[in-house]
Amino acid sequence: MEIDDEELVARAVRGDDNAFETLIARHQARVFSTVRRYARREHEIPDIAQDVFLKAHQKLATFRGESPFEHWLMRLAVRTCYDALRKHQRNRESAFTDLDDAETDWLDRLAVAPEKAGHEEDAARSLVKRLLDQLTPASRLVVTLLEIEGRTVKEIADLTGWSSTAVKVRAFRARREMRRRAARLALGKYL
Amino acid sequence: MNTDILLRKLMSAARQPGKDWSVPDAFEKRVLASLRQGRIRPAFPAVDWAAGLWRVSVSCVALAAVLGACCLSFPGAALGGEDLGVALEAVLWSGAEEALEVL
Repeated sequence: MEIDDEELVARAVRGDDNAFETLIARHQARVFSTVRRYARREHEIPDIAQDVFLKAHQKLATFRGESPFEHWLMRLAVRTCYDALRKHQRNRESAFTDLDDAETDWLDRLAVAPEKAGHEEDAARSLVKRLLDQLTPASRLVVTLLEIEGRTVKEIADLTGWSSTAVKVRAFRARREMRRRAARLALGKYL
Repeated sequence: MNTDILLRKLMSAARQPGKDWSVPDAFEKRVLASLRQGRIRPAFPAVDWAAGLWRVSVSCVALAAVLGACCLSFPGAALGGEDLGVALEAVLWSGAEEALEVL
């Protein structure tokens, strides 16, 4: 029979490393998919994910079991990603001048016939990554949670620890920033 | 180019899962190894203390040498056997006494 998360947490708190290993194995895919949305470089992903689990281990005793362990871990993951974004915010790229051929081609097709530029293409994905990389850490967090993951304001407030009003204000600013960056991308390409 | 369409397409692209969303092999072992590595350090607090004391010892010796040199260079400033506590108390209270006399 499979041991539930709460029991594994209790065992890990008592020093059972095997229990914590099982918790990692069970939740690592979810943590990695969250971290991937925020990491600026591919090689940062395992380090940030590791940070999430190290912090989780450190704070396991504070897990009260009021909500599922996965929710608790996701809160920690989002906050760790936000910290990582803030730590590396000086590395934000400032220009769209180095678009590669595939990205330029995708933008060309979008300008001429939008229906021919598919959103499932790698070029679109790398373009949106460039755009997100240029946002402030708070804007990126809000855009990712609200627009990409489709979470509600209440859920975002719970995940980030911000008030609902703060989330709404940041969402407004983030959308404005996103629109400005997108406009610059379009202008940079076609002026 | 229409910015709305561009944004809509880009957001749709961001919602698509990437091609390589896998977890590195033996990731849980890596985390546990890191945890164990972190645990070894505080297991020997005496070593940390000794290392810290060794690092500050050079500064302490330098400070003592400077103070010693100052005392030798300015013998007039020395207290000449007077109790340091009494001298300090006298200095601290002198201002208060002057204020009380004015009142």
